[in-house]
Amino acid sequence: MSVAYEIGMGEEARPKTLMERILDRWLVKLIVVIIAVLWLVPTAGLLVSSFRPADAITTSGWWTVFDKLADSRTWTIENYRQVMNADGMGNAFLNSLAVTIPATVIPITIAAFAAYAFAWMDFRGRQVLFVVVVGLMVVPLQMALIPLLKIYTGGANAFGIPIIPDLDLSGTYMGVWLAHTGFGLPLAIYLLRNYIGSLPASMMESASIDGASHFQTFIRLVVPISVPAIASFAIFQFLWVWNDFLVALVFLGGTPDVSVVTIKLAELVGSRGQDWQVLTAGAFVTMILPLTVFFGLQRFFVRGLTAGSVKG
Amino acid sequence: MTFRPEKTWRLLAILLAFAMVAAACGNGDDDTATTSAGGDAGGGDAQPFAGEVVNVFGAFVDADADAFADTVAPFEAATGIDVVYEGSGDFETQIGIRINGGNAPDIAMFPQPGLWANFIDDMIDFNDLGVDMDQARADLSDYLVELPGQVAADTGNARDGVFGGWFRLNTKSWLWIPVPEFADAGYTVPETWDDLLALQDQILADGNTPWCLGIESAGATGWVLTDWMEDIVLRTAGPDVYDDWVSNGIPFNDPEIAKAAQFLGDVMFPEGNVLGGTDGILATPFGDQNTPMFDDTPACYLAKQAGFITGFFPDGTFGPGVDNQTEAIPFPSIDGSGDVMLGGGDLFGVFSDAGAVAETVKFLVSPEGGEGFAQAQAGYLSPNSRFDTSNYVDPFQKQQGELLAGALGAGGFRFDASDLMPAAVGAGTFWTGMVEYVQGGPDSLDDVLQSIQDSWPSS
Repeated sequence: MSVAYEIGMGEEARPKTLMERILDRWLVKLIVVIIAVLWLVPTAGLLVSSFRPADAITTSGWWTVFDKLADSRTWTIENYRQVMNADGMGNAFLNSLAVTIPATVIPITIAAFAAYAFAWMDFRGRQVLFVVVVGLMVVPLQMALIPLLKIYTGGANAFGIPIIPDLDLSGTYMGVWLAHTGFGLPLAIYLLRNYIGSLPASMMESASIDGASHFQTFIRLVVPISVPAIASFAIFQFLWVWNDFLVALVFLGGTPDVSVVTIKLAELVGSRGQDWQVLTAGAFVTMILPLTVFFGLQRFFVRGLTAGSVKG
Repeated sequence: MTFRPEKTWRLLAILLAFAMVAAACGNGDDDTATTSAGGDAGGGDAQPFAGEVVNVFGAFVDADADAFADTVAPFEAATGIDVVYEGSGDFETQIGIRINGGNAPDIAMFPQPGLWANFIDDMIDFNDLGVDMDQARADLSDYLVELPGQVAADTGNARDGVFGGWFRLNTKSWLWIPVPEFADAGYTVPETWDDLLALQDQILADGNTPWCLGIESAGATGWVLTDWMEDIVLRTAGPDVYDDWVSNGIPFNDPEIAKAAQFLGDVMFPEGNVLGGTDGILATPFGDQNTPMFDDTPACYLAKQAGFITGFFPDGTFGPGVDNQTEAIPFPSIDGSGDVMLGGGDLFGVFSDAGAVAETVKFLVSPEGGEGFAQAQAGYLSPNSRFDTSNYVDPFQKQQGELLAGALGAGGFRFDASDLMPAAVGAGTFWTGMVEYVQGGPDSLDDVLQSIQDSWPSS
């Protein structure tokens, strides 16, 4: 952003030399292309490897395929066949969806309400509460695994008085939704509060003068114009939960009826990692849905990220 | 661009509804599973534990997990117990989280006895479960029955009672040779260490490379060489010294251990003796170690690795229905060492004293406990001397089973020492020390052994 800004300023000040125009037009593009290529090369290698036989992957690099593109021994769909035909892969996809979608919707809903309250409602301790919530971002979720599991399996007591009842949430979808909600909320509240807080105060005032309650203002006004921010966080949360292995394994477990795609994939590799070549194909199979989501929502993604940061 | 709020809400609603349906489907599967289990169970009075569920958590996954399901199927049919196995490659961390989180499985299968010992306070005594320990001792050998208690004592977790049962073992003392090229080149299978050294020289003299050796294993690099050390110590110094070494009764820089390391050096360090030299040793992933042996002209004629390495062989080189291109030969004896075998295994602990769990434990330690597993997975070897070896369906499995049974009967079976030592050494300095030995060459040996000894936790 800043690069484009400085170049824009120079344009008004004086006519540009040829060199500068070349730099303007090509340097930025060139850097972008170089970075994109650097990032894409390993992915491309993975894609090529996923279509190669296991023996070939161990004995030669993926770039060597370009010498023998037409050779039928170079290519195989065996890895994909192995992944797609694995017992329970379809079920694992459904499980992943059953975990991911609510674990995306729930935290966003809560975070949007909270963000509005932090930004536009006056109550005592607002700043302190907000700082505490933001501060929670630095707590690694791994620290919460065992305490949370204890609460799930046995509830929580303080001085003999039950504070949280024993809900037996371990191994249930509800349990993993709640866990993801808790782990996702601090960042969600922080991002959304920044966006919602940057909306013009005059808008809120006029809504209030027109007789709208906080709830009406939130539903009718704030949510519709916050869609870019909400959507961009939805993508973050969706990708994070979809790719999550640890939280699902701890709170949902790896039994075949509930295991999600990431856990299923880790199992495919075998007890001693001997079938690791299926990971290449598995990576692309599991990538399909996140990619669809990303491209489907990408127009929100860019807007949402920049909208909060450069306003005003 | 304008956003259409109604549209967005509709999209969200559809997504949410979809998720709920998916979740409902998931639950639906649960329901049908329970009903069908209940349906089976309702079949007759012969099933004393109809409908009860026993959760088993272990480190093996995929095909091994399927094999476990096969092995408990007859037991489930007979008792009505539903044995649900869950495997995770992340077992080492998961088991701690689950036990400390109050969510312990009924039975957990530990690949490392040292890890098992950490949770001994939460476990149920096998005597309280009604397991016939006299029979178990006769079946399993004194060494295997006493080993868990010994590990617990060594790691400062001593507790009266029997808390560990053996479900399956594996063997490590194997060399691999290319067939038929090995015999075609005029080489003979080495029976003793001297034979092996002579064979090395013969292969070198023919202008070939004797060994394939690769130890790269990411964060665990080094374990391949600790296996080498263990196999040599077990033969040069004998099982009793081996046990002293494991419990640090003799220091790591004892002459016996140094001698074993020198034997290993005689393989690793001579010029041209290992494919790729010492750099090759460090850079080659252990799973790819044997692959050059399958070249049209074998790139090497000897490799050492545990029985499980067959899973890493390229397709069509080894196994049932295949013209085997490699063959396992026993690690040579040294100075007349007898029936010895290095191995590993799954040690299980029990966290529930429910009747159905006790019944499952009794089944797992019985000679029938591994039959289905053995038939489905050629890697399975039973620790039980009464096991019906006709269940070993694969020739290499039979070969392993015979040597294992012989070593167990003769008291020469020893568990992988690095898995028994405190983790700081066995999964730490012993591994890194071996890497330093490869890098530093023969002269670095004294320093390496001294530093491993210094790292032994004082307790």
